[in-house]
Amino acid sequence: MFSKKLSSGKILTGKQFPGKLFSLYRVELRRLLLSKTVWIITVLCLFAPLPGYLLPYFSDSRTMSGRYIANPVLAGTMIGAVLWAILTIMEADRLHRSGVSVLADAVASPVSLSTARTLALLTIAMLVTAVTALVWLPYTAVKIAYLFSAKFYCANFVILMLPTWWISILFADALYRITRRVELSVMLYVGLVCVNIGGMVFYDYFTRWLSPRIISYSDGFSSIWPLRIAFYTRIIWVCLSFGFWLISILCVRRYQRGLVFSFVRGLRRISVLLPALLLVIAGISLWHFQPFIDHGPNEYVFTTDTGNEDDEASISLIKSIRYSIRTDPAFGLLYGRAEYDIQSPYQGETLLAMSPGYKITKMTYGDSEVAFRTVEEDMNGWRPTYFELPQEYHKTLVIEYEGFPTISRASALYRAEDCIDPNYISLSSASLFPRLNNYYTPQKAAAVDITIPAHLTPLLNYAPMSNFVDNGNDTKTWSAVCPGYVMNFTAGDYVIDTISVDDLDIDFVYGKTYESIVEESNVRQAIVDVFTYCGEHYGKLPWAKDNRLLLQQRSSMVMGGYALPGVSQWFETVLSPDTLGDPNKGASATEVFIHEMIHQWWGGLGLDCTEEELWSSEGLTVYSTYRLVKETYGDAYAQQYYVDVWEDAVEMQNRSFYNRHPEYVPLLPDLYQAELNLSNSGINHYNRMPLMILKAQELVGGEEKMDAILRQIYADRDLFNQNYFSYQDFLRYCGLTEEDLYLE
Amino acid sequence: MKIDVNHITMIYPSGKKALQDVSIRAESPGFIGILGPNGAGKTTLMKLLIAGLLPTKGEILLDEKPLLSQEKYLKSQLGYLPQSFGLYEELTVWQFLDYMAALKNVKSKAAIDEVLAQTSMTEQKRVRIRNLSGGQRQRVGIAQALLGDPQLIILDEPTVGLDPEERVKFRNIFSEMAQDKIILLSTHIVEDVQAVCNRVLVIHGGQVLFDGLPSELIAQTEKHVGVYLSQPNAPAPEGCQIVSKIHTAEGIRCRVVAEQLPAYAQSVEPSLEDAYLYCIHRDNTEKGEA
Repeated sequence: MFSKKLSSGKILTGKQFPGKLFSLYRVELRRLLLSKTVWIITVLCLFAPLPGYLLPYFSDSRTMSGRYIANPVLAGTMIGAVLWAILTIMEADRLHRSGVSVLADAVASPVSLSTARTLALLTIAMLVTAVTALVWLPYTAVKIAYLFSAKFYCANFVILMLPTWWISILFADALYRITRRVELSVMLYVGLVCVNIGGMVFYDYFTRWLSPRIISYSDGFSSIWPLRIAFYTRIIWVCLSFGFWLISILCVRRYQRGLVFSFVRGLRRISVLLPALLLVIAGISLWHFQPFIDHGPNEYVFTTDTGNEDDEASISLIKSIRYSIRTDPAFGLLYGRAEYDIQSPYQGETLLAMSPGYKITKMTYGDSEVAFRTVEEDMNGWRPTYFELPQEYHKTLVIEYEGFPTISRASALYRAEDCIDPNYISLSSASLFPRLNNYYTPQKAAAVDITIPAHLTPLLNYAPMSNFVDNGNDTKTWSAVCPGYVMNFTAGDYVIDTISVDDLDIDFVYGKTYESIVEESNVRQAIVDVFTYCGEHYGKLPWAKDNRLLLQQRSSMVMGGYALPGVSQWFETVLSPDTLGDPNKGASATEVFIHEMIHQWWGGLGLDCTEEELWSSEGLTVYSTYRLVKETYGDAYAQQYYVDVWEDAVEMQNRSFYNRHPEYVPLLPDLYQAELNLSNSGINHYNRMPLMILKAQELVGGEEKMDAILRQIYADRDLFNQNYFSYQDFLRYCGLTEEDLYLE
Repeated sequence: MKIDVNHITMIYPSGKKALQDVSIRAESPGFIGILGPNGAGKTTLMKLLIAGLLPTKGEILLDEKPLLSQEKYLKSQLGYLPQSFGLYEELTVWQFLDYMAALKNVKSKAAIDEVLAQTSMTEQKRVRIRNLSGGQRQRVGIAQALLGDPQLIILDEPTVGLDPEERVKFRNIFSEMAQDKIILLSTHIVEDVQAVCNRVLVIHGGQVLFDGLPSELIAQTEKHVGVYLSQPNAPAPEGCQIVSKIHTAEGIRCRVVAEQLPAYAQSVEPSLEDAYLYCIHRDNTEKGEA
């Protein structure tokens, strides 16, 4: 060991080298803080969120939190990350360009010096993140007013911005260290950015190292899920970038030799090589074993064939089922226990379908353990497990399971339906309990106990639950009896208002956050107006006084709205102040809210339409929405925001190269073909068809005549109960032909 | 401290042979002047001594241990001033020295003030480097080399850009420092070596031509330095290298070094510069490059 005597008389020994890194870090930090370039980058980073406030392109979220938090933070994250990369490469190159490296490398390890510089840059990035958050806090707080949560706002900067800036710095530093050339480092960095853009094109969460994907933020419920997955992807990329950065340390040029010599010599540094490899392996493993999205097919495969179907005679009977489900919102976990009273076990192997995120911890039949095998082949939202029961009658099959509910890969594009967050729980049947094939369950055979945080209001199968036990530990266990298989559970910070329109009771369910908005915007009256208008023009919904309709606000985690018998759900932004406060916004979310309610008449409930290429219940619903809006806001408004929009979309569709030359479509990659089909289908249903109905209206003699026809169709709905109402049926009612409604 | 350079050969990846079978031993205290023409291999030797290059053959020992296994120790004991170097322009003199002090793990701020005083830069310590003159930058370079009281100081042309008064001052500073450490001074200015070095190395064509006391180098040049009067444009006598030409009233007084002085030349007392030039001349003659 060496020793050194300072002029101050102090003796330093080799053991004090860790202190040297801190000293280097300190002076590098100060040096960087004196650099004009650093200050320029800092100022640019402070303004980096600005495009996010002006342009809505950085996140998929359209809620207030999405617009004023996710979008600006992601804009700042992406722009800032690129700026930090430029600064990092410039600073790394500067040491060599300025000639200081000749002095520095002689007295200090180039690795220590480079490490200190990187640490200093990471520190400055952290400080700039904090300052950026502070700078934009007042504006954001004012814009989203009472929805603003400082904790959530800061979490975005800490989870999205800071790690991404760090990742960018580490990558840029590593690239320069490996190449030792600015232009090459920049080119390779651009290549990494392209990887991210690939993730943006294909809506992939995990390849997006530069711009974490935020599917949506909820204003009224919970945004933990998108933050969780963003945090997880940040951990993956921090591991990968840090590992890569450590590998680049092995490439530090020594003895004026090239990359290969330095790297081969650097491989001797096991203390660097080992953690580098561990980090890279950890990153790849975290990626592969991510618990959020299953590994199923990219597209929905609509099939009921589970490969285990059998003739009806061999279907065995389950007498009763009991599900006991406990949620752990802090970690997003579910613990479940399913008990099946089986009259006669199925002879042969039974398929059990359950969320791929769950693991069966125990399976018993009577007193015996049951062997089972899970196949690591995910389907759309479920994973198969096979087991065979002994031929013993009237025993109870108990399945215990636990895990993190996944969302299917096919739906990850636009929704995160299954999640357990502290303020919002949404679970589809595959995420609630196992589904057994080959077993018939009588109606109302399942008793369900679900334990959730006490402050949440649950809805099971679209109906409020009423029975609960307060467990005294801030949780409540809610109980209900329902069908064994089709189940849907939602719990949120809900308000349930009951609105009566004539003989119909409507359970109007919305987030507590929106209570004042509902009050101020007179939403209850709007509901009454829609039901009154449609009732007068088309006929009343076929419910008796005792029947109810659930109108539910969905979390923005789930895109769009939809209608089911007795249920109409609309997306969260319908009630956002942004939407309801701006009547000039046109065909806005408010009108989507009306649209979803009109679905109670056309499609889903009143009249089921065929789902042809050009025809579905959407056309009638969009047309009726237009008519109601026209009556409410006037002709000009309806023309501008409905008819003009339809015409533009249809014209665009007609002018599309691939629609004019369909012979080229098969030459396109499957993904583009699917996108084209989706686009055409949307335009046909939401634009072309209402335009054709509008044309039919002109041909039959005007609005009143069309109202009469629609009233008649609705009155005859029972005629179509078995055979869906088709386009030809519509033409027949109107006395028109296909050629009559052909659009030029 | 002790440095042993044993049979070092250095061939660059480009194929250029910079040093051939060089062996040197240096022990503190010692002030070694390294003389040699451009491209002789002086800078390569210095880079090898600071572990900036790996020798193609041979080994360097630091306190009897391989230099590469002693890199941390070497760096902690090293003061190095290369021939050309850069400074961070946006920093003040003091900040830059503080930066270098951190690199050298020198924690005492007094050490910075000490080298500032030694290099007469105390008044400029708050001046940004971008505002310094060439000589002042050179002094900052020297200051950083002296920082932390290093035991091995390697200086490559340290007095370039300094005025004569400063040159003398630094010579003296180096001389004082050499009391308890090793200083290697590479320079073209033979006068500097003569003034302060107790040992001189002459390197030429990658080989050490002489390693010994300056007086020994001078002694072996006795009878090989002479003067004669010449006419303008007259060629140098065969086998002679003209060291200087002084115009006098009688004609041009030429000073030459040669293995065999011409008969008409008058032998004179050699200086160290004569001795160095004779050394190089003799080597060139032997290799047929004269």
